[in-house]
Amino acid sequence: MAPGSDKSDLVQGTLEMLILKTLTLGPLHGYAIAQHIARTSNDVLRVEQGSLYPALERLLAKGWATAKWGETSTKRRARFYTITASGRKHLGDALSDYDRAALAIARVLGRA
Amino acid sequence: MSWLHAVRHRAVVLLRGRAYAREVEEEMRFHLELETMHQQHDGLRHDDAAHAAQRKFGSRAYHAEDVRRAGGWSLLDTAVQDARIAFRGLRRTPGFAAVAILTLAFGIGANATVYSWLDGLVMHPFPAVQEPDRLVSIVTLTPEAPRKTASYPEYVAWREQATTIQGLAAYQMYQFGLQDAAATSAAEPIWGVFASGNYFQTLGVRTTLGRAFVPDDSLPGATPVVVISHGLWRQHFAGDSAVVGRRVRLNGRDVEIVGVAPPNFTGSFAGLGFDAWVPLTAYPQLGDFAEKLRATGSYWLTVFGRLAPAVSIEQARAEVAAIGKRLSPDKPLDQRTSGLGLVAFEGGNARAILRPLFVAMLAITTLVLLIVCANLANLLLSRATARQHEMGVRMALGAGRARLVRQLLVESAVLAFPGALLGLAFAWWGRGALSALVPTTALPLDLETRLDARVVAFVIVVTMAATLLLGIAPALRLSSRSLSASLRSGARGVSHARPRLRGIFVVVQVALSLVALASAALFMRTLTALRHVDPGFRGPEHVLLVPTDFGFAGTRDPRSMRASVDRIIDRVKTLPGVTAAAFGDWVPMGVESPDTWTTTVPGHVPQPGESNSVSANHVTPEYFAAMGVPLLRGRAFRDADRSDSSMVVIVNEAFVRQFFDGREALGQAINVGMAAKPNATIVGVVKDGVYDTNRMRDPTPTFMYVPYAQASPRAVTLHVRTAGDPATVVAAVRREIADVAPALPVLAPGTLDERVRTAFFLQRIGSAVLGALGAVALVLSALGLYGVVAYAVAQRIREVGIRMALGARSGQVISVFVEYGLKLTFLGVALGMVGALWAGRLLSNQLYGVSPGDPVTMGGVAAILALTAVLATWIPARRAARVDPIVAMRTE
Repeated sequence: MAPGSDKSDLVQGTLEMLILKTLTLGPLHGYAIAQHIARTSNDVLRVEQGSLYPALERLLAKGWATAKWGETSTKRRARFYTITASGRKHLGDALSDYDRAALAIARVLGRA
Repeated sequence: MSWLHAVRHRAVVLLRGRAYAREVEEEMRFHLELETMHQQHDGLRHDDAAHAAQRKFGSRAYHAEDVRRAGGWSLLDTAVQDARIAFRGLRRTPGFAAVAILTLAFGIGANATVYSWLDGLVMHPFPAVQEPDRLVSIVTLTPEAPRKTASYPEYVAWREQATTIQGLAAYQMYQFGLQDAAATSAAEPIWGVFASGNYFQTLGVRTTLGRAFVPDDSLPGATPVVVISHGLWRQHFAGDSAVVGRRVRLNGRDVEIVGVAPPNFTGSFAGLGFDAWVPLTAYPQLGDFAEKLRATGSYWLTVFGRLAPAVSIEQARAEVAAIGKRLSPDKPLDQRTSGLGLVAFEGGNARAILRPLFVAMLAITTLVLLIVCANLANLLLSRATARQHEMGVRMALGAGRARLVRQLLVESAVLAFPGALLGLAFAWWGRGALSALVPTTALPLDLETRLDARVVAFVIVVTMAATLLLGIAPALRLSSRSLSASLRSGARGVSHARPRLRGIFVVVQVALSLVALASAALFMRTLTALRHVDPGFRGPEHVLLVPTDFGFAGTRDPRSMRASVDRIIDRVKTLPGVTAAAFGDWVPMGVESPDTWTTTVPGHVPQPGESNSVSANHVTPEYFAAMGVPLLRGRAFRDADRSDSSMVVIVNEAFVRQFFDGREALGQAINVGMAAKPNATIVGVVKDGVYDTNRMRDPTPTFMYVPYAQASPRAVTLHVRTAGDPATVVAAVRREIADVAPALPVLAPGTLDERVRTAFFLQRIGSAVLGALGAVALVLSALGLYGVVAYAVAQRIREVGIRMALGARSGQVISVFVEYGLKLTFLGVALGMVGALWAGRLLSNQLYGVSPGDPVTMGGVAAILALTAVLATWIPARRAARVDPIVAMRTE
């Protein structure tokens, strides 16, 4: 995805959902979020840094996450993101929307 | 809850700007380091790992930009950027910037000032009063205009019966003489209000010191109490915090100060400020007529109350009408009324008078602001045209049209914002301007207005509108198809496209100027017509008026008042230069209303719509000589017309017309007051005059003069006619009065001439302000016209050169451009005529002696505009003719 071009809202929303779900595990910094998503999806979903940080900024701007500077286990300074109550609520809504959409697509494709 | 975090985050980003950007960068650097370590872990060497990581990550700067945009800040960023560029551009042309900002400041400031007057005096004149829209007044409906005042017995009856209106209160203004408790010095005249016990409660005004009225204050025999204003407390009592409980004298009687009103409360009359509030029940002690509270025919109180909660005004109106029907069988025979009505509380006459004036002024200032914006838009258009090349390049590089339009809007905002600040300063300075413009009158005018949140909001709205107006012109220019053409044809840009947009602006400007000038001209003609109306007296520049009031000194006995009056007249007549001296209790062309007497004439059947209330002036014998009022028939009063002889009156022509219908009035007996039998004889008839300058378009009211010896009010004015300049005898007159009655204060002496001039100040101010604004509009339009023609000349200079080289005469060349300019002017004048006729109709209430569509006025103004236009077009056109063809053709 070339920076500067219009990313589709669907893709943006999905990324935000993935990040929020990751944050339900606890406060994480940006790199750790990307690593988690890559590992859990068996490297199929690789979040580009160019998409990760704008997505995190959007979450902050919408109030679904907060960020604080803290220390990693190796005593390095990093910015940790925490999901908020409204973020959890939005995650719940997004998950049910996603399930509905996935089921509909599968039906059309004759897979369900 | 999400909005809380969201807002906090946005605030942090906004306030910490650069620091936040650095943090994001640090975060991404950290990510890059971790990625590098990861790559190393996968087996690459450090440098290769770093490169691989960097490649994977991409350009950090790019991502930083993305992050910012994701946070929704790109709009603000680009706006700030545009503002910086605009600022730099303006700094390079400081002359243009100064002119632009100053003219915008003038336009915005004028609007803000007039709006603050409108807001402070008409729309929200009572800041200390709770919910003023729930206040209503009871009025008595009559065949003519409703009677807005009531008698005390009526008020009491209404108060007992009304349920939909709570806290029915009554009040009236009154003048008092203030002395300290020992009464050692001359009384200081102050303005106060007689108010019912629930006055402050109904208004919802709380005192800052002490208390308002309590029911015990109304007990008979109680010492009268007074609530003083904040201003009086500071000035007269030096802000003494122990003022509550102090005793002073009002009109010669002891009163006790019980409270101090808040600083933002000066009474319930819009535009007036009062210093003292005294209970109504104290009127017999402090007022001029002991039986006033029992007089059923004396209508002097304004009655108002607050609508009960959840009651609508229609419900209250219905109840009031029912009360009126229930009470009317008890009314005496002269009450030809149509029942009781309910109106929204007005708080005096000022709002009705000022509202149309201020609205008209606001319309005019809006016009001026529009003209200023049109002018500036033209100038900005020229600048934008010069940058067409730059714009074309940027669009080719991918900047959206919206982006460029935003930039232009930001540029006009950079001009408008300082203009708005200056405009606010202008309005702040203009707060006191109204007080300064209005001359001192007999009433306690309080015209200081506030610059509060509403005015600031108004300025913001006006500024945004101006920004949009200014930005639209160059932005529209961008939408023309010739941008790519501009890239191809080099810096010269469009050579064949007519500057249609600029032409439209000029047409609008000319139209607006015509409207402003026409309105001003109508006002000026009104003023001239008013000046030529016969006021009913002669030689006003030789008449000195010295107002005074026996009540201030505590004199109540009519006999001693009459004795003082006679002695003062005798003394003053001996002064050198004095040809006549008299007292009268009312002076025409002021703001006070005269006393009225209910009058019936035996044998006269009143017509429908006719009033039996006749205005009266109580005068001493030499009054007609002193004022120069021509006596048409019969005689003036004599010393023999005293209280023990039979009552005589002198009436005006309007009286004769109404009651005698052309028959002989002299010698007839009439019923004055509510007398059952004729009790007065008409001994003279005088010429009609002008009595009330606010009612000059109504038919002349009936008027009657009564000898002072037979009815003696306490507030009187000494009229002194001198052979020369009255100012020379002022000091001597003061001495004589002080000699005869030391405690009698002399209030603001002036000549009758000054009074007449003061009477028309509204029309004078209107013409002056409108005329000034119209002149400014004319100059701006002329400049606009000049600019358009000059631009057209510059655009077509090559064509002109070619033509002249081919043999065209200079006259032909000039006429082309002049034709163009005149065509614009003609369109503007036509458009303006429509607007001016419409404006004239709006103003028709304020006009006198001239109709709104008066052809002479319209024609004259159009001619002035046309002449100016010819001049403005001819000058640049002439320059076209004088150009050297060779030079013109070489121009790039």
